[in-house]
Amino acid sequence: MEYTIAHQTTYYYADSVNESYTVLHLQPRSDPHQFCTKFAIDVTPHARINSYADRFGNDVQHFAILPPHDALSITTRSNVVTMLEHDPMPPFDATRAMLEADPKVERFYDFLHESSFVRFVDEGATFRAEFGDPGESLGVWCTNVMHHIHASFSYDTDATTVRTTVTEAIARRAGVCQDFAHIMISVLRAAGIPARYVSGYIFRGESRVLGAEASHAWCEAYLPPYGWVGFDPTNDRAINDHFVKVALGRDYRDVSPVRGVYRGGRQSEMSVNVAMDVLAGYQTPAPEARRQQQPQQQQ
Amino acid sequence: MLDLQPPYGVANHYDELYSADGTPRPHYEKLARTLGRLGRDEILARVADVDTALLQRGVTFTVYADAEGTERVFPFDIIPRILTAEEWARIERGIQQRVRAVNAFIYDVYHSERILREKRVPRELVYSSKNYNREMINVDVPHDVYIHVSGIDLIRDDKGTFMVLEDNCRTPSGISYVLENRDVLKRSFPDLFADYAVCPVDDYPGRLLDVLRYVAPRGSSQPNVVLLTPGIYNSAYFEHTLLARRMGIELVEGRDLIVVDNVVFLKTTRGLERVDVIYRRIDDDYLDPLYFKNDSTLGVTGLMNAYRSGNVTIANAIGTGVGDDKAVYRFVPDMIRFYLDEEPLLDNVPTFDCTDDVQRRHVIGNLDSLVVKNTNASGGYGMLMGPYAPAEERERFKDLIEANPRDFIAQPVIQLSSSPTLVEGGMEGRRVDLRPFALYGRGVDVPAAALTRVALREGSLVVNSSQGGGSKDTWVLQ
Repeated sequence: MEYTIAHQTTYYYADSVNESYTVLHLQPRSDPHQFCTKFAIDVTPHARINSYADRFGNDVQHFAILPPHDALSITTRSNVVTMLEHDPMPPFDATRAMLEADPKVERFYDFLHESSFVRFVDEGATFRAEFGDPGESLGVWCTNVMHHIHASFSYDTDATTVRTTVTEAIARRAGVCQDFAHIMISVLRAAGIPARYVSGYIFRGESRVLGAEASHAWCEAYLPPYGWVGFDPTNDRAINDHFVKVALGRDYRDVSPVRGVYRGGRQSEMSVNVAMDVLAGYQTPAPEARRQQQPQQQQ
Repeated sequence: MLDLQPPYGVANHYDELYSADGTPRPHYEKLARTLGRLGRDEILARVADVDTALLQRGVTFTVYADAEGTERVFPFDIIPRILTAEEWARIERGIQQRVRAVNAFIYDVYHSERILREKRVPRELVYSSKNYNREMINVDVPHDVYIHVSGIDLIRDDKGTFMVLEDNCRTPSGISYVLENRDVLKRSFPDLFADYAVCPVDDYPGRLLDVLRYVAPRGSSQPNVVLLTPGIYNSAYFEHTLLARRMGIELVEGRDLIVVDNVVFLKTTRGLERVDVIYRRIDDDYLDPLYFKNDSTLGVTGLMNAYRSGNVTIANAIGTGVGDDKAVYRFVPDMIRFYLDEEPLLDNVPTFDCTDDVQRRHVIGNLDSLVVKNTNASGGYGMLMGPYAPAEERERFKDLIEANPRDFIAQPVIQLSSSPTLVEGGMEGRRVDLRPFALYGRGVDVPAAALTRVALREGSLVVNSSQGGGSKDTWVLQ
């Protein structure tokens, strides 16, 4: 599939601010499963954009606007070709023995331990008991974890905020894609399975019009012999060619699409607009797939 | 008259002045004679002058967690601690070796991780270090130098052999006391220097400035160097002002700097001035709210990105704390073998690893004979002196260790050497350590400007200023 994505984030400040410094994780990754063929950023007021690759291989952009301003608008336009199959094989051959024999795992310390948003708390232990023992078939178990989270949590944009931790989301049994991903990551890591956070976009099938959508998030588990395998607990789906991967990290904190520091009044309002259009390769999905679509997270 | 016969028992430890049979060591003889000639009244009168001078110069430090939050004069003992040229030469080589190895380790853990891949240091230990700074992964720094300034704390065991007690690779302080102590002692007790050729200490600021200029980003021919301080409430603020003044560089706070297009500038009355090198005396966490503690007002927003792109040098580099983590310390001898293919010239103190079940059980069972240290604290905070601590304090540490074993190490109590010290009743032995400062630029330079800290309380083994320590002028003989 080939997509074109426009992502606009606008901040309106009640009182004008100055010396604002902003860091972006908005550039789709290029890896063996997808290729970003075009990426452009437009910032208002005008700013010179600098970039670097972070330690996860994400391309990060950043800029500063020093004079006073009362609004900030960031628009990115990307074209991405996705190469995953539409119906990927489930990772059912992954076993604990293969994971334990894999020499790469020792480098995944960060994906096996707690991070800012992913905590292994006592409430989490009670919660984790619902998933049973992973046993030998890790791929089957991870898939079941995804099903269970999807079934036992409700999608609720009012239940949580961008700062909600796993503990809080579990207590409420509700959240948005960011929370679903964090919860699944915490369950996997606590079971000794390397897990990382992915931010990106999901294509909504038939609704091909420009609309008020936002970023999506899911998780990846390291499951030899497959390597990193994506799971979307929000939609209870395996990651396929409808997903565009933007950035990966330990959790939301490593990859938040837009974050910054500025001087001046604290009050601001934000609006996010994502439009994702197909350029090539789209086929009308079966009715079954259509029903499973979930709204996505407001970041 | 000061009694020159051993007035203090030289028991189970090494004394700097008296050898085991009670005779003064040759390099102390002339000093002892001069002090004897001056006599008690004269000495006490001059000591009063010294104290006044130090107070006027503002040689103070702040004790944190003190209810009054007070600034105190750092106590100074006028009897110098003397090191022979041979002793110093050994120390110098040992420190150079150690700093090169720890610097190589820091470079390695942020790049190819060779020492981890070859399993000489456990990965878990590095990744779990609170000061392993992930923003530094794959970031290059000029000349691969991270530890521009270090203070390696040495002690002598009962045989007089120098050992490394701990490494300080972040923002070690204390050099201002070295400079001031020498000034004040020379003024008040010029006679003491008459019989000795003592290496100067006042070239330290110049040598530090040489290093800071050397590590400037490529292409800055006249590098602009500034000293970044957290401000007047920092315990070492006096040192920051003194060093900036003696180096002839600007003393700045975070709000004086601004990052424009990945370049750091100093706001001046003449406009913006480009900054090439920042000698920072602020912890990593406070340097840039965009990447570290986001409520910090001490740092400079955007500094990490300017640093990452090579437009400014920060000294010490960000992330050096992984090298002086007290749980990493026990691997430094291995680092010396691994990176330099040399045998360590300075030994470590034996150290128990609390994350190992067997060792932790030993530590918990023997808290009354061990020293327990928090792996990331410094300045004598967060430590337990087992033999001297009340039982409830030992209980508290037992719980702390069980809860977070990675945060603690334990060592046997080392009987530090004693050095003659002026006390109310005359002259007595008080325990001392030694902090030489190493400067890393072209190579590792160890100026003969070391700090001797002295535990002024009788029998005390803790020399930290926050714990009732003072200092001495340290003479390295030519």
